Amino acid sequence: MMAKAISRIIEAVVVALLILAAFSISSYLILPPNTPHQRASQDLTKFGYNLLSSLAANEGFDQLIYDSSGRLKEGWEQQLKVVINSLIPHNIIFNITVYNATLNELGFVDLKELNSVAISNAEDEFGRANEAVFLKAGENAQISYVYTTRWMKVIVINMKLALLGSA
Amino acid sequence: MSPTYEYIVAILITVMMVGYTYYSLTSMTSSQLQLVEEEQLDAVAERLFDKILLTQGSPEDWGSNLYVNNTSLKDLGLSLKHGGMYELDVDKVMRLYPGSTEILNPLYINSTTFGTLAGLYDRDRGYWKYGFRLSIKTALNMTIERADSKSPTEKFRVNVKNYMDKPASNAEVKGTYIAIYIVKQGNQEYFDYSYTTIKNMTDWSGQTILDFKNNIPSVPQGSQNAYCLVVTANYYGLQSQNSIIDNEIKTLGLTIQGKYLIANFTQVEDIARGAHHLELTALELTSSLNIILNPAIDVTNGKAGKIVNYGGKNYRVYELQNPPSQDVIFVGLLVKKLGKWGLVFASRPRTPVAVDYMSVGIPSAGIKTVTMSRIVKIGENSYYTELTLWRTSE
Repeated sequence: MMAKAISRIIEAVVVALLILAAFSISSYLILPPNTPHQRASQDLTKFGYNLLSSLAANEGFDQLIYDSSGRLKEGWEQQLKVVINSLIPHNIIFNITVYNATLNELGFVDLKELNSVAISNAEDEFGRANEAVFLKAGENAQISYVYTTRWMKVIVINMKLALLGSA
Repeated sequence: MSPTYEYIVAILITVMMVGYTYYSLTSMTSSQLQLVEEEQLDAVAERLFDKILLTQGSPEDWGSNLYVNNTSLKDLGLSLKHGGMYELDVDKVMRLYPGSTEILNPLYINSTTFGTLAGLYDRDRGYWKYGFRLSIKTALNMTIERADSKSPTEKFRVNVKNYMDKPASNAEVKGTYIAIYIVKQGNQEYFDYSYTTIKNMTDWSGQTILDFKNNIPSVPQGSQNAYCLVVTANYYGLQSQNSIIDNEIKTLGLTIQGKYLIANFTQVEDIARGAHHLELTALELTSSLNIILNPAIDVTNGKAGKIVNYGGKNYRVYELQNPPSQDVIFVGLLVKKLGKWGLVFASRPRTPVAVDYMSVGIPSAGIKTVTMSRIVKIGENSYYTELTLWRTSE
């Protein structure tokens, strides 16, 4: 009789502890939908598109990437980096990859990377884009922008943006 | 074990569970409430910014429709009707400018109206739920200085910075030097202009010299003339324009609102007051540097319609015969003062800061603010727009 009673109490205590543990864990895990983080990256995406389309509107990419005969300019990556770097706020880092889009024999789009060096303001000691900085930044946004040059070449600009101090 | 003890233990467990549940729920909601509130401010700012830049307001022509005022405006948006994305209507932008201390803008839409329409201001209770500041400035900040003391000036130094205040190196700078003149033929006077254009690139520091030594626009001999330089800078797609007048009449201010030009006397120390005789043909410059001559009609009461002076005729209002089109960026008048001809210009929108529009008060310390920015277009020119939003109480 006594043993049964004690086991009932132990059961009740264990159940209570389980319920309390569930509450404790859930309080750490539950986040409301659309957290500020998601909002920040939404704005980062809009900002990125707005910046790229502003440059594209007046043939800015033609002037930056190609010379007057339609060939790639020497050192265009550096120039593009300087221009983008001068137009974004100090707390935003970027990494840009530019692809040349062509159609292959099967009718699929082939993307060939045009930049031979990193176009980024977050480089490691080897001159490559430092992915660790983007991971640590917290808020990331990826933008793909398709642009047709005045020589009818199609380029795809992939821009990765991260907001520093948002993690 | 006695059932009494069992009941006591069961009650203790129940009380402990209820107590902990209450505590954990309270702490969970209060810790998340901050996040929800912050998220809400971001969302409100984003929606508001999209509304300002991507919608046209109601009525759609509220910028140029002079019958729309603070009470009849139904919805506020700066987007140009039939324009592209992020393309703003210059007339709507101009209505957010309150005017100078001397001449108030009669078409000004005040921030309380804006706040009420945007749901930021509670008109019934008379308080701001959210404070805001909206600024629109040229994407490129350009300064033009005379680099010699000749008349007319031959060399101009141009300095171009982008909206982040960084030098715009390798920006294309195009200068159009315009001479406006009046020629007398018998009893008849006619008004005309000539111009020359040169281009240059800015160096690493964003500077360049425009040298018109062999390119001064010609004027007929014996004519009365005035010169001005309009500079267009293009930094890989971002374009801004500015102007400098070679013989500027500093004692006369000129403002444009809709189709009305307001010329007013401005007191400047050490400059003789003198009467200003205005030539009533406005010179309009478009963002693609086309020049339009537009007759102006005096609509101020009084007979001396061409004269502005210190005293009884210290301002005049002129109606332009043809309302300026969206791409007109400068409107000028030729003015004679103390026997010398000069120019006065009004820019549309104002440069370099087109709009600095805000609610009453500034965010107090510790209050979270959200700032968003976009690049927009007015005509061919690019502008940097920034919206800051905060809660007036947290």
